[in-house]
This record gives sequence, structure tokens and C-alpha cells, in this order.
Amino acid sequence: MSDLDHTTPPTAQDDVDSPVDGPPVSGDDGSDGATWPVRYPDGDVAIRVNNLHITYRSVVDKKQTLRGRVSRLGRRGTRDNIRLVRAVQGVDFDVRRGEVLGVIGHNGAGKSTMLRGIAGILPPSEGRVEVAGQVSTLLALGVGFNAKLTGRENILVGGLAAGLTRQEILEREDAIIDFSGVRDFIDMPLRTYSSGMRGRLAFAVSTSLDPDILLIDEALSAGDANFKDKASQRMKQLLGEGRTIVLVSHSMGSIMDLSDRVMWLAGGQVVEVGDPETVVDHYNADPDGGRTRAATG
Amino acid sequence: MPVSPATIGGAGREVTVFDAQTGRLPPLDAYIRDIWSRRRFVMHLARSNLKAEHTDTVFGQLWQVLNPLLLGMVYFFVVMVLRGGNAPPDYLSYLMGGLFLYYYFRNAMGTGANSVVAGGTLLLNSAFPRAILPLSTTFAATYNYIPTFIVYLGFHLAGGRDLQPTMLLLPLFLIPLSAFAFGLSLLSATVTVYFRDTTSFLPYTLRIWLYLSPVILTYDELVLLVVSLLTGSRVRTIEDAPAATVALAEKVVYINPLVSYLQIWHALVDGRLPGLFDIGMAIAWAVAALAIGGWFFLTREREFAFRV
Repeated sequence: MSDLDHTTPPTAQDDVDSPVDGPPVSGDDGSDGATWPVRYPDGDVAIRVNNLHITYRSVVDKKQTLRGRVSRLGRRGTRDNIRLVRAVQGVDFDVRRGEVLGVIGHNGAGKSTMLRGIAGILPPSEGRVEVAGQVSTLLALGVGFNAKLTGRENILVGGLAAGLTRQEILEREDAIIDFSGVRDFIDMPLRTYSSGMRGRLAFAVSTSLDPDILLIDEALSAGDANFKDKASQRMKQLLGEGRTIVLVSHSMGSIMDLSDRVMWLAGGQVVEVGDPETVVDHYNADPDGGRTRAATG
Repeated sequence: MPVSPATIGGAGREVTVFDAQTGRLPPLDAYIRDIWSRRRFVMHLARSNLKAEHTDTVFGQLWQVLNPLLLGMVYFFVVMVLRGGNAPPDYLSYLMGGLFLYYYFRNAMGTGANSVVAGGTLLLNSAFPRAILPLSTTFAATYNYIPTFIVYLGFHLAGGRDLQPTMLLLPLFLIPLSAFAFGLSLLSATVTVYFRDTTSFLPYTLRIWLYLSPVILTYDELVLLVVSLLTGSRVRTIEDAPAATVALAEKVVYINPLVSYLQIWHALVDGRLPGLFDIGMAIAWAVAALAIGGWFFLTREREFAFRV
């Protein structure tokens, strides 16, 4: 099953940017014949996304209460206060092991939803996601942190949630505290932290978990210029260790600096995938963030 | 559940596949293994739940014992007034034992119902078996129950009753009891995700449940009450009623799952071995709650992140 025959195997390490038409992959019926999705040999792939759709119902202006349910009973056809949000609509791509994929796009383009789909937090409504290895997520700032507990306790919770043992976390604790630069506050409840401090702690925790795959959403915007430098260095160090990273950011600087390839999303669809400079140039030049290009295919 | 095999990763790499199959049960063995590998996380969540509760009150953790204790005093007072001062012998320790057990349920179900909704950002930002959330609140409720038992012993001894060797079986009794509470937590947590009003209704439902359980009334009084309702006239003693009606009334009383658990409890602290019927019912209720609650929860948990 995993030994599909590749007619044109892409040359391994140094040829990341040139799109190669992979073999037809099962379940890949959503592709519309463009040059992407770029498919790599199965053994090299860390993340494979096939025709991923994520759709959810958003209840507009209404809490999910029994009263609301009852008053909506019997008028299933006219559910004017329920909106179907098609956050991700048929996305296909492979990420190779050790590659950094930057994801750009305007607010509401589906970047964070797609990342949550890869992490297994949000289920696909259609399509399929495969990930090889341990995934660590750094989504939004202050991931799963409990404001009532101290910074030190939150490090423990974060690590335990990721499946580390207490011992493994204690071994990393000092390094995490040093890197985050919040040592003076580490035994105080998290609610006393500034958002920048929380972000730095979150970044330090999730990059210390030794994940095979790291999903990062806007985390580099945490902290001051000094911390951004440190964070960027840490990212490069992780890269050197062969980690696979999917990086969502609005900062074109970090995207160009860190990514091997860039994917541009708009309206839940892929506008363009390719070498960072080209895609970022096209993105910056586009007046409406690619919405028209995505809509017309 | 047939998840089609992974296509990537090469040999020896663990590949996780997420595909579109809402409303289906995840493979149970993998699910349970995943929970087991995060058991420390479960325990830590349980501990931090305990810690976060009552942190800003003077008596702090003591409230876990004070709450049922004060409520017990109130009920004792009310019952004494209603009965004109004569209660069954050892009534205070009978009431306290039952009330502590009931409080365990109340705690487990109340915090369990909220567990997923309260998981908020944790749910949106990390992937883990969601059953960990109600599991940890069940553990926290169980931790909380243990000190109340020591308080119960005080009432037991003060009432002039002896310690019984059968009390050593109480830890064993905790197994079906906590399994039942966990099953109900899974169910109420799922329902709460879809209807937030559940947490408002729950206290009233639980209060009615208390009155229908042999806590304030004794088991015989409950049966007598149902007999009176069935025959439409006030019956003084069980002997006055037709045997068929009494048998039916006992069946009606046993519709309440808490009855068999409380019967086991009362038997063990009285120095009796619980009846096989009660043991069978307790185990059956635990299995049923786990199966139904588990099915509800697991088939829907992938949607939870959309709804919190």
C-alpha cells in the first residue's frame, strides 16, 4: 500500500520548490487539475492532506440553550440564525519531513481552522489528514493554560497534556523558564502575566516538547523584538533537528525567513503554493487577498 | 471501525489518520491506550480541579466536608420537626451516610456536566481523548468523597454503633460506584455541550433524586410511600398491604439506580453482607451507564471543539 510506484520521483533534499506531479492518490478527487497538489514519495511525507473540508454550523447570536432549540423546532428549513461556515474547502498538500510550510492569508482565510484540522482537534467534514509522528500544537497564545495556576504548574499541565512524563517535564523546566524569560513570575498565577509573557511561555513550552511536527499559529508575534529574535533562532534550531513545521503568520518577514515553501489560503481554498518570495510577492500585490482568485479557481 | 490505512510515513513510523466519519465510535482499544498514556494528565487535572475549587473561601477545602455536614444538620432538624421528635434509631448516622454518598454523585455529575464546556481553550488548542475531562472530574469527586467517610465514622461511633469488618469491603464498593458516576458524567457532559441549560436544570433533578432515594426516608418508608400511592389510600405498615402490591412497589423503588448503591452502603456499615440482587443491580447500572454515556460521548466528541 505504501509502496506506490513513482514515475517521476522528486529529487530529495535540494529541490523543494519545483512542483512535481505525484501519482494519483486515493481520495484525491477534489483536485482540479492544477499544478498542485505537490505530492512527494510516501516515505518522505510528514503531513498529507487530501481534499480537506472543514465545515461547521455557527449559531449566530444565540447561546446553545434548550429554549433556543425548542423555539427552533419545527422550522428546520428556515434556520436563519444558523450559518454554515465552510472554513476549509478542499485543500490538498503534502509536507515533507523536515520542511517548513508557511501559511499566509487574510483573517478568516481558514488558516487556523486548517491547522486545527491537521492537529486532529477539528474533524474533517470531508477528506482526510495523515500525520506521521508526534504533533505539538502552538495555536493561539496561552494554549490551554489555566489562569488560576502558576506558570510552573502550567508548564506541567502543558507537558502532561502532550503526553510527557512528570520527569521529562522537570528536566526541561529550567530551560523553558530561562527561554521564556519569566523566571521572576514563574510561581505566580498566570492571570498576573501580560499577554506577551503568556505567549513567550507558551512558545517555550511547545517548542520544548520534542515534537516531530510542530504547528504554530501566530506565535512569533508574541513578545518584543528581543524575544522575536530568540524565537526565530529556536525555530531555526528546530529546523536543524529535522522537525516538520507548519507556520501560520501575518508577519511576511518571518514567513520569508523561515519557510521552505509558502501556501496562500483565501476563503478556505488554496490560491497558490510555491517558493516563499514568489507567493508573498503575489499575495502583497493582490488587492483583495486572493478572494477572487480562490473563488474562480 | 475501518480507518483506511495510512499512505505516508514509511516503515516504523506511527501515522495518525483523521478522516471524515462523524457519528462513529473511535477504535476503543486505541482510545483507552491514549487515555492510559496520559494518566498523569488526568490526575493532574483532577488535582488542579480540587485546588481551584474553594480557593477563595476561608475554610477552603474544608467545604467539601462542611457542605454535606451542614445540609445533613438541616435535614435532621426538618425531619425531627416533622416527626415530632421521634426518628428511627441511629437516624443521624443513617442520614449522614446516605447524604455523603448522595453528595458524591451530586459532585461527580455537577462537575462532570461542566467539564467539557469548561475545557474551552484546552479543547480548541490541543488534541487528546476528550473523555479525559469528565474522567478527571470523577476522580476529583472520588478524592473528595474519601474524607467525608472519616466524618461519617464519627457519627457512626457517636450513635453507639460498632465498627464492622464488612466496612473493609467499602473500597471495593467504590469501583461500581465511581464507574456509574463516570458513565453519568459522560452523558451529562455531552448533553451540556448541546444544551447549556443542563447545568441549570441539573441541581433540581438531583434534588428530586435525593428524595426518591433511601437517604432521608428509609428503604421501607420509600416502599410504603409507593404502596400508598399505588393503592390510593394511606397504608400504615407493609403488612397491611397485599403482597403483590408490595412486590410491585419494591420494583418501582428500584427503578432509581441509587437505591441499590445505598442498600449496599447501608448493609456494609451495618455489618451485613449486601444482597446479591443489590450487587448485581449496582454492577448492571455501572455497565449500562458506561456503555450509554460512553457511546454518546465518544460518537460526538469530535464535534465538541466546534461547540465550546
